[in-house]
Amino acid sequence: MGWFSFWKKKKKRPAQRNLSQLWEKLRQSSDFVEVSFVVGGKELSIYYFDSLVDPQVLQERIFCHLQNDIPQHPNVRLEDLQQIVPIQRIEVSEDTALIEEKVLKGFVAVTFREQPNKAALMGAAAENLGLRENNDSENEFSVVGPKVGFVENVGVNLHLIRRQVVTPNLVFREMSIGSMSKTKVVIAYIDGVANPEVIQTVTQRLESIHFDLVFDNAILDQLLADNSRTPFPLFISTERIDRAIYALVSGQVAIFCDGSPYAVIGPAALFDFFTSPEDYYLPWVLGTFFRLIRFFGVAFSVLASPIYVAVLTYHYEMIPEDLLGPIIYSRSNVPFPPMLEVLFLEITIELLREAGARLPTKVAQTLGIVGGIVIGQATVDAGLTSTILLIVVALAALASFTTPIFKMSNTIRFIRFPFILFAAFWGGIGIIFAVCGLLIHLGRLQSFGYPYLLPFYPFRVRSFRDTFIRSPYSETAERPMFLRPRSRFRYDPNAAKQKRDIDE
Amino acid sequence: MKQAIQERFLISPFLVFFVIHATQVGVGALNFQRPLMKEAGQDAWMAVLMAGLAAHVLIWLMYRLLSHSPSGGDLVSLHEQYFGRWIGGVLSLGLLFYYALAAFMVLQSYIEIIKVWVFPLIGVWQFSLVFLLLTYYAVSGGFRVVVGLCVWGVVIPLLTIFPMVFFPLEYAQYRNLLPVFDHSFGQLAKASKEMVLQYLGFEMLLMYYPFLKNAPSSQKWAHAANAFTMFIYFVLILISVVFYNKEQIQHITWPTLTLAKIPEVPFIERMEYIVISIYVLVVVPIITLSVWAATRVVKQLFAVQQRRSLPVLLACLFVGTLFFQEKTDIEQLTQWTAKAGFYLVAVYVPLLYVYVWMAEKVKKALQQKP
Repeated sequence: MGWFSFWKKKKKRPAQRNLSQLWEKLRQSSDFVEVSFVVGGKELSIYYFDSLVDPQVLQERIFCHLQNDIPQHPNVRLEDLQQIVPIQRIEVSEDTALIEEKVLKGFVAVTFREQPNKAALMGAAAENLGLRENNDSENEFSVVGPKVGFVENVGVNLHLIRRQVVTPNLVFREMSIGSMSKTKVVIAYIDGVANPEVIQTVTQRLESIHFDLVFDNAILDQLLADNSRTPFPLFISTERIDRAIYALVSGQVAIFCDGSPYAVIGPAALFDFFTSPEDYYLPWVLGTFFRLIRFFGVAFSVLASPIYVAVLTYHYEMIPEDLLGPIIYSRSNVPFPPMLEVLFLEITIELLREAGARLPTKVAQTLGIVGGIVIGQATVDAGLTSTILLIVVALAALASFTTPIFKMSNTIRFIRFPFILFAAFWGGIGIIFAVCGLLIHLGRLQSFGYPYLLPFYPFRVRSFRDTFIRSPYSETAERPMFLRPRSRFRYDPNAAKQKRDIDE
Repeated sequence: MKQAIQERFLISPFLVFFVIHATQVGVGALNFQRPLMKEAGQDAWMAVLMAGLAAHVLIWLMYRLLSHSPSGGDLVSLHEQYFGRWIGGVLSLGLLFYYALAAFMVLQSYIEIIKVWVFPLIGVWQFSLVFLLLTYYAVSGGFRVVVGLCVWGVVIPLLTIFPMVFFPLEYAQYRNLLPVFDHSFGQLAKASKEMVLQYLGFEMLLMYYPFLKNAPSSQKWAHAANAFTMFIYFVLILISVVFYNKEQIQHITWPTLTLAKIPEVPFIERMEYIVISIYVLVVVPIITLSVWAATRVVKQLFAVQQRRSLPVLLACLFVGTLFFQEKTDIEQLTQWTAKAGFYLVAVYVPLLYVYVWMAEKVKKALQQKP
């Protein structure tokens, strides 16, 4: 992000030597407040950013106690303030850089005249001010199952996770990323389940990130990626709690970032992107059925319009006699070659989709109807496309939305276009050329050093219980072994499998 | 001796199944029936089995030979150890040419099929360019990516193409199989020599052997792959024998593709287009693995980085495809490759094995003397 680079230059100035220089610098801002008063013979100064602190905490906890209680303790020092002020973890520091960072994060700094180079830092940040309190996980909706999603406040997210995973093995490791944003980033994993190598890789990658502003986890996602030249998402990002917890329990690592309602989960494999938490809430037969429908949807979405192009451009012999009539009838008015026809419609659909995403919800709904029905019907009437293609493209678009993870459905939208071009150039052989290129590309991808095509390649038979089919819970006690977890079973497999004889 | 290959570049032993099977079944599976049935008629299936058993023996021999190689190395380091730098180098150079020839032959014969069946007018160079670009992309990803491609090259065609060959059984004449044992052993042996090209592919093992994790344990998978190849050819030849009659098949150049014309479904016809298209996934792994093996020879022999030799080799192959346009030339090329492969696998490897075995004996005897 080059636009912010001029900020970086400013940042490079030498750090201020002492506290008074720091206050001098902060005073430039009008929301910086400095209060000095004498109480019980002590000269106090209190510094904070009005825009960051919670006024209630400031008045009831800090001012009230400082003003009332200090006169009773004449020899009080900064280090003793913890006894007076009812705020957790008061920190006393001489480090100006630390003080600056904390004050900028919503801490209140208290100084005494006798200890000029020290400040006591008390947390009074209004953490939820301006942030959403809850998230109904509308972007990854599931009819069955909990609707609670992650929110922008990382503390709330950790709380949500900790509330369901009641074990001391759940570890959160905090770090700060971003030279300007100082964003709080938390790595979560379950000790004794996640592979230590993965944890180490994640930590190292995060530590080596040099960036100015981290707006969202999606930026971290890209900075962490093993390969940036791919349209495929290498990590799952989810706003669903159940999904994140399921990943933790299987031995994956989740990364949370303050200000982002998404958790980034890795190492992820291609198949993870096509599972939905709902599969696990439905009976396994239905779960498997819907999952297979989803895989079919992906294949259809990628291949349908290229096959149309290939068959109508080069292999019209393949159309059976009975089908030939309708196709000739619907294409007889169309003056373009199939490729232009397909590209025209595909781009129309992409435009509708993009416009729908950018407009306010209510307008977008209207637009969808107008676009879908009016434009579709009109293009056919105008002889720009054939009705059969309209159906094919609409179904392909519909099928691409069945993918539960938004990033992956974007990718599927995208890879359709190279397929169409290959089909237009070399027909059916071109399509398989593209498939082949795609397979090589997927074979080269890695997520935190793990092959992306797992468990397909390298082939792991036992992990297939939870890829194409969602096996019943009596079969899924074992964790997916391709993640090399440190403990093998999620729950006792024998108890789950116990069978009784008939009439017993 | 070159340093051992890092653990993360190795492949599991059972993947050898996919690699060997993927490299064995190639373009030959589309047209092996005609020369075979010319020699052995309805007994052709025996020749298929005979050749397959011979391949089993040769795979066994190859594993024995490679286990003698210093610290599980490949044939190039074996040459260097037993023949010294110069003679060994010349022998390895022959290997390099063979791998390049194999890649070139497969590329040429598949493009020939495209030209005859699908696109008589589109320039050959386009296809060879796309193939070689795909090859470049795969080989530059390393051996593991190449093996991954082999896995897909086995699984996808097996699920899509293979079921199609059973449709013609609707019109089968099972009496075509009779009389059994109508041909002499000499005829069968001659016929099974026609099968050489169909079983070739496992000679790539000579180069990727050091990339196998716990290599000796992969031998059973190599044999399983060969047995599976045998099964596929066996099914194909049986179906061809019962579907075509002896005279008819002599007029059909690609009997397997003609078989694929038979299946009928309400929404699609002429399935051979699908077969030819999906055959890209059969052909690309063979080209890729041969090119990988060739560049690996170059690396081991001249210490040239594979990243450097790969584009050069691919450029040579591309220029080569521009000159081979005639059907007769391509047939000639196929014959050469079959011959070269036969001499490499069935003559050179056994001789080398005997030589290495004796050399080891002599060395042991010399060591014990003083």
